[in-house]
Amino acid sequence: MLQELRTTGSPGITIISDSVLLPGRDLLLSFILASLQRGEQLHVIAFDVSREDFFAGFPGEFASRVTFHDGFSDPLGWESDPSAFTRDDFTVTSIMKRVGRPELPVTIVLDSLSWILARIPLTSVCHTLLGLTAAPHEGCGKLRMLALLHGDLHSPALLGSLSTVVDTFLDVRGSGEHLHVCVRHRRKTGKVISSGEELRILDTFALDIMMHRDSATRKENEVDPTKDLTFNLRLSDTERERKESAALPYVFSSNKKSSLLSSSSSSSAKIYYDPDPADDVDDEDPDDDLDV
Amino acid sequence: MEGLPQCTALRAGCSKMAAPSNQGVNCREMSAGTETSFRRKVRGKLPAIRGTRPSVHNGQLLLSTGVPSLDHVLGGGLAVGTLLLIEEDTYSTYSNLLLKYFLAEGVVNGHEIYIASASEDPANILKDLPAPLTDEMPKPDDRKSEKQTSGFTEDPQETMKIAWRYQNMAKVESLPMSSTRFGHYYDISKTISPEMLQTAKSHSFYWPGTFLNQEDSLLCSSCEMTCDYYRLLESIQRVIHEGGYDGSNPQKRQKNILRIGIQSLGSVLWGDDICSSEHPQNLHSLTRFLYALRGLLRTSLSTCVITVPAHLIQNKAIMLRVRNLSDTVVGLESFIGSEKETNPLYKDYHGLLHVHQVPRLNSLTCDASDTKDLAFKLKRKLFAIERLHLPPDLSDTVSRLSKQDLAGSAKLLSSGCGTAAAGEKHLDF
Amino acid sequence: MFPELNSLLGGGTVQQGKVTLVAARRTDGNFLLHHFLSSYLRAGCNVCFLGLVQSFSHYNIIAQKLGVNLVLARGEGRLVFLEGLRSCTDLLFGKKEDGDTNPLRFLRCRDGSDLRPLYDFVCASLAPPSGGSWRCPVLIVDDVGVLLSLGATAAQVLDFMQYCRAHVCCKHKGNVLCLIRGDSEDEENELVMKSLWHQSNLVLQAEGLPTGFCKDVHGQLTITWRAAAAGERDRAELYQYKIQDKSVSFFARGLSAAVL
Repeated sequence: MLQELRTTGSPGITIISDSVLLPGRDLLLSFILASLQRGEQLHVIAFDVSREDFFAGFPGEFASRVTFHDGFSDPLGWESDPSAFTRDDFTVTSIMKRVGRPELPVTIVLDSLSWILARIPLTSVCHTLLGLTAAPHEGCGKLRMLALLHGDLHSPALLGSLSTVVDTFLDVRGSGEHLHVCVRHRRKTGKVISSGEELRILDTFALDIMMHRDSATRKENEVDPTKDLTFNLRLSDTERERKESAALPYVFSSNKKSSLLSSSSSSSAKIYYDPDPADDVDDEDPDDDLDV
Repeated sequence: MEGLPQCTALRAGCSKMAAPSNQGVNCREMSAGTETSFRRKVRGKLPAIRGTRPSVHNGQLLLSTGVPSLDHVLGGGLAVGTLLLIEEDTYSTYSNLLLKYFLAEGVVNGHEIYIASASEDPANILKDLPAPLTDEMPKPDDRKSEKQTSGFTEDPQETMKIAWRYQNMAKVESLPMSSTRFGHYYDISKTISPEMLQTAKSHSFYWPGTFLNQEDSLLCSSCEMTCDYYRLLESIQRVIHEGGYDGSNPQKRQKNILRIGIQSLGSVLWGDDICSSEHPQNLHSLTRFLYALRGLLRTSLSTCVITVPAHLIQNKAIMLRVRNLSDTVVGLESFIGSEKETNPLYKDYHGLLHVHQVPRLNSLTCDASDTKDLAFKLKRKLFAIERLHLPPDLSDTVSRLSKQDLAGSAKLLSSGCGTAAAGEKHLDF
Repeated sequence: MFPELNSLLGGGTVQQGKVTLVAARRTDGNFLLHHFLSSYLRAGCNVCFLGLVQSFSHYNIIAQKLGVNLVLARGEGRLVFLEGLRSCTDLLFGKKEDGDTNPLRFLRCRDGSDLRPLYDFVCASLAPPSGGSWRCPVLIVDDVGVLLSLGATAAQVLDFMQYCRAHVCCKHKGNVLCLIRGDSEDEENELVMKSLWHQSNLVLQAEGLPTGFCKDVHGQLTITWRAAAAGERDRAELYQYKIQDKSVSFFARGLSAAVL
């Protein structure tokens, strides 16, 4: 699913969440390359790194096609640089002014969203992101947004709130040579698909997916609902055997029948009675009084 | 780079504090880390300040905390120009006692005293200082060989005749010895004599006595720290400056040390809310005060001891920052009222002493003792800090208990000297 | 500088445009700072040192043991040293007019204002001298966590570090090194440490041994070289160290001289 999202372009807002030990900038550059190969126009707003560091290792002919907005050198206006992208420039109107009307699909890349979240309240950031991507703008249609987020700098609650707003959330995890990415994508219909993919980013910034496991294949590992019950619904083989061989008390089986038949040949049953001194044995029949 | 004793060279432009005195012959050849108390013979201009001595390790000027065993734990004493932070025990019993020892040591050595408190009138604190054991006859040591020595001089370590090899061995000084010039013993059942008190020059700062008035609020708005800490800082700075401890008035008189003792800083009585609420408003007042105090101490001949009710501070971050801004940090944990009181492991002691941090000033290494399991006991004439020993294993159940307790206390104690993380595993060897 | 650490870090000439983070967890990481200070001065770089925690003489005495004279370097203009403690005292008890040029004048505000005066100080001290030779400028900050204790917010501290990076690394192709001393329980400090980690090229993390105190091994050091270009991965190495009077010895885990 990740490969598909990359090649066709994920709609709406996509967030790549990385951490200190697993940087996600490579994945971001891979998505940027795919977008450029589709012929889209790309605007990169970078706060964390300078232009040279952002494009280090990226093919030059592609890098020149990207419009780079420098939010790194002077984000607060201390140097009074007019071309710099400042913190106050992060609004829908200001960004749209810089994007213009290119008559092409436009993708805006943000590096990083963590920088913005540390300085601007979450509510206004979310509104800005939605304002940019939800409705189509004149001259460029619906914008796509690709943002890098440093997941270890924020609380889980904030990450949870953010993931309800975005359309695709890529969580970079995993160690070793391969990256393990958990993808959570919400379609326009509202359906959410999630998958875990193990991949490698090649030198050409293409993705080499080694393995993926999505929610469709997970149906095979159905959970047995009778597993953790306090009572037993099934019998094991030994139990079944013992059940079969148990002799029920009121069933007239053939064994019982034959034992009865054999016992009837003996002398008839006798009753032995020892009279108790307290017994009042009256040979008279009390019913003899009756005049019937 | 001139050392401390050059009083004519104490210009305002250079900071000289916590700098070593001029090195003479370096007799030490061993690498740091071996522990002997080999005394380097420092020749050259020694500071003639009473009650101080240069450190064996790097020649830094040290003074006594008033408790000789604590001096030993801290690597010889407290360096001049540094701050000792004592994290109080639950009822502040022993921390107040340590503060009193510190101030009493100052009185005995003729140092100048500065006391700040928000709970007790400093004049009462002064009156309550313990009396030094000046006339005590030195008791013989347990080793038979030492009984042979004829009479004790000021420094018994120089007079061992038979056991002379043990002369320079470091030992935890918990037996009463004759008073040396560095570090004295006190009798807490007696208070210091008024005559001795009169010889000492003292200053005090009593927070309830200096209530806010209109003028002060204007002053404070220029540097907006919490008003009480700013005025305390200002008062300290004034004493340092007028007393010439920061190098102004160089020719005034013989150099002396200023000992500053601040009681229960950060508690509710100072107007701070870090001890009373979980989300305090005054997040930075105490840390800013400590930073400014450090600046004052580093450029003057003074040492400060502050007690802080650390067990009440809810916000761990504040406590960590306070520790980072202090030089030496020692924590007291008394057994009063805790389950450890009845634990046979601790029956000989009154509490545990945790050394959280020891400074590495002017050097890459620090000089503190390596023992991490320290416990203290208070006797009338002695506050002893010793290595925690297991009591003799007389019954079957004791050994099992003590092993678990050791593991628990090892976890607590392993974060000593600032060089180790909290140990998760209990190593059996 | 410590020859062993130098060889572990790759030795060679001083690289330019690099950001180094020294993170000390619950331990004293100052020995790393002294190493870098002396190695940069030896290499002939112009150093601006923001010494916010200790006095100048402390660094000087240790630097002399490592073979560098800070007083001489300062006199020759190769070292600009800001003594934070002295500036604080001057600000609080000095004349009011002098306070307007004090780099720490953000302390005047109760809740901390931005660290722009400090940044202006850094720019001024690392400005290339007119007509003089221009060597690689280096900014060393000791320690970033103290700025948090003094009232600056995490965002203000990070903004300051970003501006320093932009100015020193990108504009002047110099190096930035900062020390941050922290603990996982101080959340603001952790946030600053992690953010700086994301932005650094080389991270040295010093911490105590996880098994507790040991006399012969003072701690462990993790050196992480962060991916320099896209397509590379981070590389990390772990060593243990023992600090001595004039040097620090490094060895692989478990191979301390005391054990062997």
